[in-house]
Amino acid sequence: MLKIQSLNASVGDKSIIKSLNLSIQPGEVHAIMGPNGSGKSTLSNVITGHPDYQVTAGHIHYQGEDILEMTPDVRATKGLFMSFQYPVGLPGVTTISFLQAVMNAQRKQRQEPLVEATDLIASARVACEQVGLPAQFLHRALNKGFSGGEKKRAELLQMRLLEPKLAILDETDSGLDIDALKMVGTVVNEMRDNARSFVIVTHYPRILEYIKPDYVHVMRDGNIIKTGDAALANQLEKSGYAWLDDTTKD
Amino acid sequence: MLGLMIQQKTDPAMQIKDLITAQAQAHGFGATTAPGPMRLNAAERLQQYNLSSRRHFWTRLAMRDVLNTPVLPIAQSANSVDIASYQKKTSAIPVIFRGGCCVSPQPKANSGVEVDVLPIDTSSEQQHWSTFMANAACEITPALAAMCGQSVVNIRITASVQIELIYITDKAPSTDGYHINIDVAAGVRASIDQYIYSTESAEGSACIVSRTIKLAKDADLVDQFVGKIPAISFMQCQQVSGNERSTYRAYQALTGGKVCRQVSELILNEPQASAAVYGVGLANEKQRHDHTILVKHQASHTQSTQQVKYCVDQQALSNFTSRVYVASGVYDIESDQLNHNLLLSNQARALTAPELEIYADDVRCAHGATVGALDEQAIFYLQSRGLNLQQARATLVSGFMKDLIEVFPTAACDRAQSLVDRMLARTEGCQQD
Ligand SMILES: Nc1ncnc2c1ncn2[C@@H]1O[C@H](COP(=O)(O)OP(=O)(O)OP(=O)(O)O)[C@@H](O)[C@H]1O
Ligand SMILES: [Mg+2]
Repeated sequence: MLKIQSLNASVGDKSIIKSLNLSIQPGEVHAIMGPNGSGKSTLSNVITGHPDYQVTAGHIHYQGEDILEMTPDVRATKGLFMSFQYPVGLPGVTTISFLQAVMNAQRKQRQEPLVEATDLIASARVACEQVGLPAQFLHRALNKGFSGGEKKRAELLQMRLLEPKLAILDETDSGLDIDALKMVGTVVNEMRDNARSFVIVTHYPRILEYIKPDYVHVMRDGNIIKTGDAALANQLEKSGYAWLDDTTKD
Repeated sequence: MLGLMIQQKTDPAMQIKDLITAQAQAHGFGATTAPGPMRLNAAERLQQYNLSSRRHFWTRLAMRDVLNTPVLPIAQSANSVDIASYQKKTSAIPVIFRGGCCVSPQPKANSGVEVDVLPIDTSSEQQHWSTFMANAACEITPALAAMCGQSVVNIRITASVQIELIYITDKAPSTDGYHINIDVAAGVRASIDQYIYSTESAEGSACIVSRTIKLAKDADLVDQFVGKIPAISFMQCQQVSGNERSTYRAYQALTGGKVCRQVSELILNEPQASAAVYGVGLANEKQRHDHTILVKHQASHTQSTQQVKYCVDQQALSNFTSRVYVASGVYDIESDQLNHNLLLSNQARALTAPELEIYADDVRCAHGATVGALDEQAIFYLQSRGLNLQQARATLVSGFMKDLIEVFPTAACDRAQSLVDRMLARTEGCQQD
């Protein structure tokens, strides 16, 4: 599904991602942990196609295609989705009109029938309920004046409706209350199937109790320095990242 | 004595002329030309002398070419598919100006609107227009000077009606000028919609409109102007004075035009009068959109709002110059003065100068201006959801203006929204695919 080979990415002169390799098969859930500033969001942004980051070496193949030359919207149309660590407010753009615009833009590109306004409202209401956002939020400007947790819920709402093939959740669990954490688990688990993959970027093993990852990766200084199974997350929680200094030396 | 004289005459048109001349003499002016202030008050004078035959007055004094100009089949007049379809849906009373003249028939009796084309007095017109030019900060070119002495029209609104002021410039190159006095009677709620049309052949022309709007006690006027200015220079200067508890609200969404310049002087003379200007402008190419606003709070408990947003693309320029003046000794004043500008290209420019001149204590002012570009992070956010760059930009531009457009009355709001959408489809960097 996703194959990243010796990826190097930088912003200006600053090199952030350094020779990173990662391979994700359909249906897998990968967790990425790592200290602040280790490059987790940068990696997510590079996969999504953020123009600020230059890929200086390496490849990213998604469903067998080299996506590095594709604009972010083309990648999205092919089923890539990132839940932003810091979702952006869109003044004057209501959530419902935003949903309609993006869903139809994707469908148009894929030559699928467009979604009717009435159908959309119906499904958006159901999705709102699932992610715990009152339906009134559909008529508010997206992310404008939303609380931290509400923004994260709105990201999940979009994921639910856009039904991506590969979803990257960049710290979607940060700033969520305990019930919301469970809700993230429910939404992801419901969407999880043999074809759909997830990347869960997180600082807390707690979310991984709800979403059982197939792999846990630890990033530091722009690279994945350790990969393990779900147990790795708990080990990190207990011992901290310093523990890795000892183990990675072996 | 004077009244008696009028009754003895048979020709109402002559009566007026004599009346004005007599008044002028009484004020020590020459016999042939009435002075400016006097001519401006002509409508009031007519009323004062209780002239019953106003309709006669209209037919007599209507200029010959006005009579000779057929009342327009509007749909054919210009690029006006819009108005033809729009007009069918409204019961609005059109007042049509074309080529420097008012070409409307007098509205039906009891329609609540009376339209008078006044006798032209060149010298006072000259004076009026020079003041206008000075206010609008433009030079008096020979073309503009030639326009002095064109139509002066009084519109008196005595019932709750909807009026359309339609300006048509279809000769090239010409400078069409209109001076319109609008009086809204006490307690009347009325609305005005302005439209401007021109043909391609009118390129290089100018249309200049000056309006003096007087609101009596409790009058409520909604003044709407939504549309694309044709490729001519358009200048409009309005002085609005509000009496006790009167309300004036202007809603504008304008695009296009070579120059689109507005000067508004909003004077709140009596307690509880309020005035508001909500405007959005979309300028591209080398267009220039200006709004100069002066709000004068001359009485206590008065309220004013200015919310103006410009989107400026390519090499266009927007200019918002505004001053809120609060006289000394008045109190309980509320005033908003907000201007936000979005620059869509490196060469676009936005100038903004919101000023306050306050001589009173009890004043609440929200006052601010911003000039910025589109938020790159928001563009990426939208792209990451599947919108291409152009769609993402258009979505943000439309969002930028949306909150302001949404305060428009429903019909104007819909028209403004579709104007913006159509415009964005063509704006550089915002085209839909
Ligand atoms: N646009 C940018 N300009 C300059 N520096 C950047 C930019 N984006 C990322 N960086 C730098 O790259 C490094 C990695 O940042 P990144 O946001 O990817 O970290 P992270 O692992 O997501 O951290 P956190 O856990 O705090 O979210 C940081 O040192 C950051 O300052
Ligand atoms: Mg991060």
